[in-house]
Amino acid sequence: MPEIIINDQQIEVPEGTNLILAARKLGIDIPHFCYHPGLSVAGSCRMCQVEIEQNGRKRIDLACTNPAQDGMTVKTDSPEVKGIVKAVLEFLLLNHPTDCPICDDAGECKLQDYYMLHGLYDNRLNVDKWHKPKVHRAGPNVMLDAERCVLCGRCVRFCDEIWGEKQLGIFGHGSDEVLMNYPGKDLDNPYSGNVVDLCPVGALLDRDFHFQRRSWYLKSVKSICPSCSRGCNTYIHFDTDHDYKSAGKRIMRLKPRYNVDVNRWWICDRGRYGYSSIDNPNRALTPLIAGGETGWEQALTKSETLIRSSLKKPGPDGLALLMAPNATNEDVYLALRLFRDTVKFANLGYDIPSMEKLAADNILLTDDPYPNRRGFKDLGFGSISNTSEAAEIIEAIFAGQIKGLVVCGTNLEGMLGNQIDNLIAKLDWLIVLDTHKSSLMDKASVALPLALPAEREGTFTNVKGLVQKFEKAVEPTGQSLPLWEVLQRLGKRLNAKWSFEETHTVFKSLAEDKPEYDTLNWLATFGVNKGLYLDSW
Amino acid sequence: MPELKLVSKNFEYDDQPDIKSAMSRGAYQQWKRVLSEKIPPEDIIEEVKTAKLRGQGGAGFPAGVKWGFVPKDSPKPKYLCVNADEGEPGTFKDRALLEKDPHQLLEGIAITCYAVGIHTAFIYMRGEFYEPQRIVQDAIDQAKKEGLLGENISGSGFNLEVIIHMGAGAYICGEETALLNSLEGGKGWPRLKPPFPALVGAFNCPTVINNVETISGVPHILRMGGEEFAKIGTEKDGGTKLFGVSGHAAKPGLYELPMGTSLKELIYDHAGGVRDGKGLKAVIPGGSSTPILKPDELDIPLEFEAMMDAGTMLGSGAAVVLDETVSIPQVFMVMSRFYAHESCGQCTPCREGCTWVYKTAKKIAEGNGQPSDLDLILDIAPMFNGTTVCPLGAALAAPAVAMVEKFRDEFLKLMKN
Ligand SMILES: Cc1cc2nc3c(=O)[nH]c(=O)nc-3n(C[C@H](O)[C@H](O)[C@H](O)COP(=O)(O)O)c2cc1C
Ligand code: SF4
Ligand code: SF4
Ligand code: FES
Repeated sequence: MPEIIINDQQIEVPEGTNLILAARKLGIDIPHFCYHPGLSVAGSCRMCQVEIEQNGRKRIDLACTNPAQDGMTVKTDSPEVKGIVKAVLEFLLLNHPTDCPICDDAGECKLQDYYMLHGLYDNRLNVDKWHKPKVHRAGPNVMLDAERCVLCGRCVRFCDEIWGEKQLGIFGHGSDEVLMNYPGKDLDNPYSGNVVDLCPVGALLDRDFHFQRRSWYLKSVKSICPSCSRGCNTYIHFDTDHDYKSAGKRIMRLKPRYNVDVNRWWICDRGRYGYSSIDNPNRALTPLIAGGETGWEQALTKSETLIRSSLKKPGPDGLALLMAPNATNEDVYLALRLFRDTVKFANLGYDIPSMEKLAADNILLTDDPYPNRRGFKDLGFGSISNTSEAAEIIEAIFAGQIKGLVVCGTNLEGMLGNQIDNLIAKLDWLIVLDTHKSSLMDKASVALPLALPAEREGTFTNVKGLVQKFEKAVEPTGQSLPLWEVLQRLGKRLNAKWSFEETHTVFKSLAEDKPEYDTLNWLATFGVNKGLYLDSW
Repeated sequence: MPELKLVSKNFEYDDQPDIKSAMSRGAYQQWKRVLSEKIPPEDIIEEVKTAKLRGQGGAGFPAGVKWGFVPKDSPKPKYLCVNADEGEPGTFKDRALLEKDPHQLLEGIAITCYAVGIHTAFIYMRGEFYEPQRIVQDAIDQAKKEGLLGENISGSGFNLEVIIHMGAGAYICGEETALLNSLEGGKGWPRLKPPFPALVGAFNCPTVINNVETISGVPHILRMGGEEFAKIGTEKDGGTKLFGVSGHAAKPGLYELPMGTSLKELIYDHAGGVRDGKGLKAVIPGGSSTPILKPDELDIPLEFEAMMDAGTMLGSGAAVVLDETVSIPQVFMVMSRFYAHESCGQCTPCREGCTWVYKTAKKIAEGNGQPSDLDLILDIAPMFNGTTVCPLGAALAAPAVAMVEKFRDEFLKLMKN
């Protein structure tokens, strides 16, 4: 492994590590625009110049194109280097519109940061600026302000190299050059939002986030995308203090969080733009009894009564629980302890055929739209009877064998269409727990509102078996509660011998039964952060 | 020094593009000799090194040394790209070589390919060269018919395909790695070096890139022997060079002179000095990318190092004579407009710097300049010289500084205060 010296500090790095990465290990940020560790090296912005002394000879060269070589001495702060870096920055800013006050990227922009760190010169512009297309729809999710673009080419390389199709290009030459859609191509790949993160300036912007919030108002927690079984690592960016613009909207956007084992720097658009379901007028806000609003006490008492009434007749064989694999491991664990071990339902099903067919690709997306099927399997859901297939449970209901049904988060209406009323008619009672309003909730004996992952903490196990924790960003909507908490309260009424006060104690207990899950160090985690974690490059 | 014609020897014969006529004057003799005597390829490379043949495209890199960088045992095919883009303002020598003696070039290509082990050669021609394209293609067809190119040449088992590729008229595509991208069908953006084309070039294969004039000199080296060829020139620069004189010269045109002839001699003895008895203001010695010289600075030998020592460059050997009526700020404006327009736009300092200089030059030429504009140019030009992907930025930066420094008074005269 080559050993080098950067600004008088020694460091050893793996063969092939370039000087930007090596310096970062020492906490030294070499300014750069075109370099990104997830893309090929372009060496075109010319911002990352450093002084390299090697074999007794000094030269000014790029940090991004030079791998660390044994015996190199690198300086990032010599007067000559500083002069060149400042000059390159001045060139980049020369024609920039500097419309930071109306730019969504202000606060997260490399031009701003580098001007403060490496610029601080007086403007010497003595001629007119050029103009380029200011508002251009690049694709369904992304807009372009070509005037702000520094032509680093990251977005172009993302489409070429990661997605694999040319959707953006740099056209023209000289300073007439402009970033644009490739002729006849929309920026419509299922990963298009990543170019917004890659763009070091405010040229490519999320259309949904446009003019929504100043970036410095955003708070951030670490989360896991619940939109497919990959479990991409994300940040939830939210703001509950400045809703003058969008009343009731707390979650402002989702951003990818680097995880080398799962999603690297990327997430798909389905996950990224899926947050609109959270602050949504269709959320279930209060418990319902027979469609009428009520409080938790009454609703839980009613549920207890219904379940108790069936324990003798029809008895365990006539009772069923149907869950969608979007519940967390903690939810699953308590559901099992309650319905399998305490009240002993004989029929537990989770293998819901999904309404939505996802097209898996070899980047991130899997074909399973649920985030925790693997957790359900790992924790032994459904293994006590042969009725893990939801379809069999439904058949048994129609056959009159099952009389009491608890449904958690499954879209039964979607599955059954107009058969749903016939199904309900076959039941003595139906308890529905869900996050969003539905006619099934209205028709149920009891309906209980659930919190979404952004409103609670918990763990999902991804398709590869990785147990991943997510944090709570905002309070549960209305009176909704995390599922595990509902199960805890109901369990208490049904004489369960266990009792948990917090999510992490549920997880601890779960991990005692399931040692593989104990690798997650719950306490070594995160908390709400002011400011942003953009894993910025 | 008197003219010494090697590559321009047969320019006077209108029928030289006809292969029979060319062969009656000795064309392809060296190529046939190479094949019949089975001269070892390494010997040819050595001969070219001995000859001190330097690249005539502008940078002056020794041709034999460049060929020696190509791996001998590459499992991939190797390519030759003849640079016939001739975009440097002022330069018109390659066009003459293509039109007037295409077989000399083809013989040079054949010998070069044989020496380096290449079976496909591209001639990358600038998009405007319709006439040269027609003539060279015709010459290729004739040479194939004569069995001097193509499959199993003269029964030797050696194959060589020569393909003309027309560019689309961008100056930057004369830069060797932009040329490769353009040849491959991509945008003419220069590539990062290393890797150098000799290792990773066209289609990721080892590639030799040489100027038309460089390759045209190769048959003469074989004819004369490397040592004799080297003797013509100076210590480091062998042979002759085609100098193109344009502008306000009394006798503009191409002059083939031994390397090391003085610039003054070229301008006054060969090109007849300034026309119409006017006074000389300046000479741009080697194409627009080379820093301008004042009349009292012309006593320099035309060879690569000596020109560098004098603060300018030999470049493509295209001298532009400017008489006393010329406005240097005007020349500066036109020249910087060229570079601002032709910058490929890939890298920041050149893309932004060239345009900034051009806009400032325009402002000054239009009479709206201020003295601080001159200082600005002197300040920013060095920042796109050497900080870029390719030398296009430098090709404006160095001449810009020279013009402003040497003709500052003339610029100041255009300013109101
Ligand atoms: C902006 C730019 C334009 C160039 N244009 C040409 C050209 O038109 N013809 C040419 O032969 N070389 C040109 N060159 C030089 C080539 O990059 C390269 O050095 C040359 O073709 C090598 O051949 P040689 O060693 O035989 O000179 C140019 C270089 C630059 C930087
Ligand atoms: S839009 Fe952004 S990412 Fe794309 S080239 Fe411009 S600055 Fe770079
Ligand atoms: S120096 Fe100019 S021409 Fe060369 S790569 Fe950079 S922008 Fe393109
Ligand atoms: S040139 Fe190194 S980061 Fe752009």
